[in-house]
Amino acid sequence: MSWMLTPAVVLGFLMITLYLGIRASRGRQRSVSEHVVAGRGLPLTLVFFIAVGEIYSSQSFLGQPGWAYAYGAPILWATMNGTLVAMVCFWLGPKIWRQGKEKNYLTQAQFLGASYQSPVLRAIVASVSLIALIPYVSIQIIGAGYVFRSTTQGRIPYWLGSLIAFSVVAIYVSKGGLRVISWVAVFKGIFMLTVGGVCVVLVIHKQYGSLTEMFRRIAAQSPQHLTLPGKTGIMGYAFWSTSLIVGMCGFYMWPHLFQNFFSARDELTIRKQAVLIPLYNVIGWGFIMVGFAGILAVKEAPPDSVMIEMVMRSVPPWLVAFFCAGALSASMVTAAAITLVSAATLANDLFQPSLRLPDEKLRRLIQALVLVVMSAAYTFAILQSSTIAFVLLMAYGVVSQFFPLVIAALYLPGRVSSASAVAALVVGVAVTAFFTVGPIARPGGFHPGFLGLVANSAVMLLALATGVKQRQPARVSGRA
Amino acid sequence: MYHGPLEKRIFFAAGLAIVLFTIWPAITLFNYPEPFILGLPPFVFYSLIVFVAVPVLLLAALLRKV
Repeated sequence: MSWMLTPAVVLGFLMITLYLGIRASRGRQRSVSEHVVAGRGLPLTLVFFIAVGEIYSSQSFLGQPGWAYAYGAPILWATMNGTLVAMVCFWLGPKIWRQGKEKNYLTQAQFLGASYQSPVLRAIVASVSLIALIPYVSIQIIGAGYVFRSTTQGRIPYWLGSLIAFSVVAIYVSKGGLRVISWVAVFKGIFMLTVGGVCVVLVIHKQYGSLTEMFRRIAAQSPQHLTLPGKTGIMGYAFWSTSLIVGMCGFYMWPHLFQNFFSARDELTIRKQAVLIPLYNVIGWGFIMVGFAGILAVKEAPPDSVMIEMVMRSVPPWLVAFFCAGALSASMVTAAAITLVSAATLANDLFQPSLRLPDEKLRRLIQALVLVVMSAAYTFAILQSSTIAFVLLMAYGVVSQFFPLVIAALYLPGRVSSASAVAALVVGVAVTAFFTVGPIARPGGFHPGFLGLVANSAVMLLALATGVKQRQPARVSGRA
Repeated sequence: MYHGPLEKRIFFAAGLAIVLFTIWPAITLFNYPEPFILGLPPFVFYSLIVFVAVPVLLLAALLRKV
């Protein structure tokens, strides 16, 4: 019966999540703005925990320790990037928030479409966003299925575990929107910080006694794990440096993170959040240390299982159960936020310009599309299509191509024409795709997204130099 | 609180310096397994520097309203 402890805790956690979600959705005005960006009124606590929930997915808790175990030091890129992007949040976030507030933007695609007065650009950005986002939801669903399967020794199959978890997510996201996600994110954020932090300390202490002792042994037995290019030579200086640049440019270009700016109460809230984000990042660094701990302790395990393996070896069963519930919650909050943004983008930027629905009907459409997006992501997850890995491989490089357009929209309004913006985006995405899956992979060791950014920026600069400006303002239709 | 173009440029330069510190060639200074710095391998220690530098910079910018 001991196998029932973890699923019982996980199911209990799901019930608490569902209760919080339904409770938080009561008694609110039901407008599209309230549903998608929480009425632009979230305080610091909620904005911070939504950001934490969106940033720290199951990839942070399972994938990154796995990378540390398999490759070593190159994964420290992730935590350094997660810290550096706080500067982007601090300086760009308030400007984006201001425009969102003034013009009542709901989505990133709407922001870019209106900034360049281009419905075509809006549709392209929306389409690219959806292609990048839905596989991310699938990855979270896959992660949840694995948690159920591994903690019940296969008694709850992968398909059923993920169906249970994401039915809960679909219900509360559809019913309550972003405000509900924010309350669930607070619960998850505090839960993960405490349980995860305790697990990290216990694993290091029990296995090695101290961090210094752990690294001393790794330095003696496998020093390649402690430097670039890593154990398998995966990341040289060029790839490290260009990955950080792409990461800085691309991080807040993810539509769900970009849209998070719109939900803040004011500019100061975004700036305070930016100061706090790096502090929470320390927990991600701690999880990576557990991955390092596995290098000498675990022999030839699948990298993604190292974190759970180390936790199971080092902490009492009840704490393992809570850790698994935390890992599941990480998947759920990330998936919830991305699903909501996907549904809002689909409704607001692809359907609404032609449908022109009133507020109430648009909100209902978004609620219905939450279920459609979740079903599509679940189908991808069950099929475990190779398309998911393919899209994820390209996704970061592709969304970073929005960055030059956002910068020009904020700092050089009206200086770049809509045609130039579309051309820059298309060129950037094409170059990224070519160097990701084409015959020449990563030339010179550069990140493909970096090469895309260079090409994209070159087109933008050419447009600026030749003075191809926007024509007369033409209102971008759809909800404003 | 006063914040002129010069102060903005100083903060921008500090932010840029942090970014440059994390990429090549600065990274080569720490890319060795030993000797340890404050009990950590140089590269792991290096990864922690930004955890301190970025919040300090942003807190200063927040207080100065830059």
